[in-house]
Amino acid sequence: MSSVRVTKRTQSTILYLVVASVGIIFVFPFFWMVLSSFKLNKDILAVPLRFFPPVWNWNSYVRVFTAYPDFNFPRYILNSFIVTISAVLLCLFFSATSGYGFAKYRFKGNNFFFTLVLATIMIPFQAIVVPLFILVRQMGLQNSYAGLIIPESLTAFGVFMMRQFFYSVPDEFIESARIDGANEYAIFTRISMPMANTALLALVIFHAQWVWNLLIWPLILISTPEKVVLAQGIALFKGGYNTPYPEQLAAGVIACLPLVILYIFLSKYFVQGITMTGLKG
Amino acid sequence: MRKASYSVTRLQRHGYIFILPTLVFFSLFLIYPIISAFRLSLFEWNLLAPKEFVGLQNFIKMAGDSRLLNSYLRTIHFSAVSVAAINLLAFVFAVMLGSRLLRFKNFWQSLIFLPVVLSIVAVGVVWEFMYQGTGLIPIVLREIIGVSPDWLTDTRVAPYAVIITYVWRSVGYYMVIYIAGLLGVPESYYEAARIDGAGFWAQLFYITIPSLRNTFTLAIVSCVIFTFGQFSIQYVITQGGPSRSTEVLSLLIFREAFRLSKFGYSSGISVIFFLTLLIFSLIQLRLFKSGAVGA
Amino acid sequence: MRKVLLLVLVLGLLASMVWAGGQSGAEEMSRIVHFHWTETSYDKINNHAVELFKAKHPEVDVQILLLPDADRRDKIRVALAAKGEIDSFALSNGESAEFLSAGQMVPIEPEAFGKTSVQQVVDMWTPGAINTCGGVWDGQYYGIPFELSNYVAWVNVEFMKEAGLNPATDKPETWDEFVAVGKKLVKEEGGTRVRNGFMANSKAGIFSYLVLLAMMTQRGLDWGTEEGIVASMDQPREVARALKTYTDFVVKDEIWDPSLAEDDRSGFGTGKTGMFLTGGTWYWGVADNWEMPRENIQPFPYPRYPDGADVGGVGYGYCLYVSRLAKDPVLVFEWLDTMATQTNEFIKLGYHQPRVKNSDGSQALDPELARASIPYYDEVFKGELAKTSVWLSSTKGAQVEDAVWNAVSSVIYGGGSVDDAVAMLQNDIRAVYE
Repeated sequence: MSSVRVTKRTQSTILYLVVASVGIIFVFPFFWMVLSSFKLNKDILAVPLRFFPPVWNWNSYVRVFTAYPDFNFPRYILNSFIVTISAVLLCLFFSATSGYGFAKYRFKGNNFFFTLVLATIMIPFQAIVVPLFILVRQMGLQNSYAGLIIPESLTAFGVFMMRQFFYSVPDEFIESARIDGANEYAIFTRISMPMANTALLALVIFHAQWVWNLLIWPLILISTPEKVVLAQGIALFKGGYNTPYPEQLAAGVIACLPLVILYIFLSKYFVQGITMTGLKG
Repeated sequence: MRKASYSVTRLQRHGYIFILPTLVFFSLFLIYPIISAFRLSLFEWNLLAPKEFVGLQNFIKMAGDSRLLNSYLRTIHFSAVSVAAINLLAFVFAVMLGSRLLRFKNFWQSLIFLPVVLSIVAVGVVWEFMYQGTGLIPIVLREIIGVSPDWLTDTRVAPYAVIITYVWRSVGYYMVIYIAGLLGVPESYYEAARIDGAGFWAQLFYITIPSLRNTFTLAIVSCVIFTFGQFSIQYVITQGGPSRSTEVLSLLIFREAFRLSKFGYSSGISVIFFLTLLIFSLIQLRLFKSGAVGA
Repeated sequence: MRKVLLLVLVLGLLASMVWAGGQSGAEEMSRIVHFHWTETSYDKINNHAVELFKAKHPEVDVQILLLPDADRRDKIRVALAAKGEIDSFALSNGESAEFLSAGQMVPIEPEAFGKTSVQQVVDMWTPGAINTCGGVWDGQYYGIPFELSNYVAWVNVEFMKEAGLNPATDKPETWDEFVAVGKKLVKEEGGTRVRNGFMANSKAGIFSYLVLLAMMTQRGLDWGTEEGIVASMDQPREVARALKTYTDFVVKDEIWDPSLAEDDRSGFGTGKTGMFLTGGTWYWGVADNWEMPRENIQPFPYPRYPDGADVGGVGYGYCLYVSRLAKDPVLVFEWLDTMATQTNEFIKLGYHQPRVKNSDGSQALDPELARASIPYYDEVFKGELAKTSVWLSSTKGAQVEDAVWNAVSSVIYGGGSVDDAVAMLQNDIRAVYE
C-alpha cells in the first residue's frame, strides 16, 4: 500500500507543479505590467533587461492623475462605473425577463423570436456602429449616458444563459404558486428570481467585464471630455505620441483594478452560477 | 387575490409580456441597424456626400479584392488556431483543476481567469511591450534558445503573436465553462469505472469526454463566433499590420468604414461576415442536432 | 440585506448620474466645440486661447476636443455626418479636400475679424498661405491658417561624432551618402540593435507616405495632383527607383530595424535613431519633451538624387474651419481668430504660423523672434521652404496613403519584391481614381 501512496504523492507534486507553472504564466504579464509601471521611462525598454525597477518611480501613478490636465482620470473612472453598473442592471433585467419568458411559457413564435435574438450574436459591433450612431443621434441620445448604456446592455448571450437556467428550474414551484392564486409577475419576482441569484452573478461578471472594457462604442459616441469612459481615456492616453511608457502602464493598471477586485469578491459564485444555468448542457 | 386561470391563452399572453421589453430594445437597437447596414451595402457612401446607389457593384468588387481575400483567410487562420488552442487548453486545465489531488482550486482558477477581466487596452499595451525588439519575450527567448523571431514586424510571426495574446486572454473564460461541465458528470460514473479497474486515461476517454459533448459544442461554437468577430487585440497591438498579416475581417470592416470612408463597401463586407457565421451555425446545428441545448 | 444593498446601489447610481449630468454644461450658456489634435506643449497654449475668448464672450463656453492625431479626421467625419456637436475643427491640407468638396465648411466671414471684405482677412496671412494650408476651394476662402511647416532631415550630431564623423562636413547630401552615414550610426549591444541609423514611424503609414512623396517628386513624378499621381503609374521604373531607395533602408542597407521602436519623433528624442525625416521647425519644441539637449541635434536638407529634381521635404499646413453645423458662424470665426492670435507663443516652441497681422492691426509673427527661436532657420529651413514637395489634396487622399503604405509594408515586412509592390501600387492607385 505504501507504493500507492508514493505514486499518489508524486502525482500530486507533479500536478501542483504544472498547475503552478500555468498559473504563473497567466498572471505574469499582469505582474510585469504592474512592475513596469513603477520603472523610469528609460529603464522600461532598456538593454540589458532590468527586471525589477532599478529606481522605483512612484511618480508615474501620481503623474497620471496630475500631469495631464486634459485627462481627467477620476472622471473617466466615475463614468465607467455609471455606465457599467447601469448597463449590467439593465442587462440583468432584459436577460432575466426574456429568459424566463422563453423558458417557462409556450407560445406561438417562441422559437422564432429566440432564434432572432440569438442571431444578433453573429453581427460584429463594428458593422452596425454607423447605423446605430445615426439612429441614436436621431433619438437625441448622442453624447449621452443613455446612448452608451442602452446599446451596451443588450446581449443575446445573457438571454441564452438565463433561458438555460430557467429551463432547469422545476415547474412544480411555479405550478403550486399558481394554484395558490398568485399572479405571474409575483411568481417571477418572489419565487423564480431569487433562485437565480448565482446565475445572475455569473452573468454580472461576464457582462461587466465586456461593458467596462468596451472601447469602440464610446469612442464613436462620446465627444465631450466629461463623458469619456476609462477604456476610451486609456486608448486616447496611449494614442498621444509623447506619453511615456510608465504612465501608460500605470493607467492600464488603474483600468484593470476595479474588475479584478469585483472578480475577487464574486469568484466563489462564478462557477456555481454557470453550473446552475445548465450551460454544461 | 385574482382567481388563477389555467387557460392556455392567458399563460401565452404572459410569455409575450415577459419577452416584450427585450424584443423591443433588440429590434430597435440591434436588428434595425443590422438591416440598415445590409441596405447600406447597396450604396457607395462616404458619410458626408449623399448616398449613391450602386446595386451589387460592391459585391462584384469584393470578388476581385485581394485585400478582402487576405483578410478572410487571415480571419479563418486566426479563428481556427485560436479556437483549437483555447478549447484544448481550457479542457486540460479544467481537468487538472478538477482533480481530487488539488487543493485551493479557487485560487488556481482565479489565476487563470485573471486575464479575462483585464482591460483590453491594458492587455494590448503590456503585450506590445513584451513583444518589442528589446522587450521581455525576445530577450528571454534569446537567453533560452538563442534566437527570437521579430514578433511584431515579421509577417509570418505576427499572426501568432496576436493568437498567443488572445488565447492567453480567453482560456480562463472557457475553462470555467468546462469546469462547470465537469461538475455535472455524476461521480457515480467514475466510481463504477474505478471499480471496474479503469485508470485515469480510460475514465477520461470513456466517461468524461462523452458526457461533455454538449459542453464542447457550446464552448466551441460560441468560441468560433466570438473569435471570428474579434478585433480589439489586433486593433490595439498591430493595427492589422505588419503588411495586413493580422488584418482580420472585423478590422477590415472598421478600416474601410472609418479610415477610407467607404461605408457602403464596408457594410458589404459585414454582409459576407454575417453570412459566413450563419452558414457555420447552420452546419453545426445539423451536425449536432441531437445535442442541441435546451431542446 | 441584499435588497438593501441593491437599493443603495441604484440610488447612488441615479444620484451620480444626476450630478454628472448637471455638470456637463448648463443650457443657458451657448457652447462652441472645437476638434483639434493633442500635443502636450501646444495644449496649454490652445487652452489659453479659450481664456482669452472667454474674456471677450463670457456667456460662451468653449470646449476644445484634443484628439490623437490619427483619429482626428475620422472623428470629425463621423461627427459631421451624424450632425453631432461640432462647430469648428482643424485639418491639414492633405485632409481638407474631402470635406470641402462635400460642403462641410462655411466660407470666411469678414465681419468676425472686424473687416469688410474677405481679401482684407486673407491679407492678414502671408501671400498664398491659405492656399498652401488647404483652405481654398472652388475660388472661395474657408480656412484660417494655423500652421505652415516643411519637413527636413534631422541628425544627432553627438552620435555622428561618436562614429568618427564630422557634423560640419559629413552630413549626407545624396541618398547614397545618407545610407553610408546611417550605417555608421547604427549601434548594437550584445547582438541586439539599440540604435537605428534611420527610422520612420513603423505603424502609421502616413509618415512613410510623406517621405516617399518627396522621393517620388525628386524622381520627376507629380504626386501633388490627382492626374499627376495617376500618370506617374505609367512610369514604373521611376516609381520603383524611389520605392526601392526607401525600402532598402530596411531590407538591404539595414539602417532601419522597424522592431526597435515605433515612432520616429520619440525615437529620435530618446536616442533610438541617429536620423529621421518627418520633422519641421516645431520639432525643436517637441524634442524638449525628452530632455534631448538641443546642441546634440541638427536639421539638414533632405538628401537628393544626383540625377533628380532639387526638391526637399513635403510642405504642409493646417487650417481651422467653421463647420456648416455651427449655429453662429460669425461667433465661431471670432473664436478661430482668437485661437490664431498666439503666433508668438507658438514660435517660441518652433511652431510656425504664417500670420502677418492680427485683426486689431498689431503685428502677429515677430520675424526677429522667429529667427531667434528657430536654430538653423537661415541655414536650413528658409532654403528648403522654397523647395518643398507638394502633398496631394484629394477627396480620396486616405485611400492613396493606404495604397502607398501597403506597397511599402509588403516589402519591408512581407519580404516582397519592389517590382511586385509597384505592380500592386499601380493597380491600387488606378482603382482609386478610375
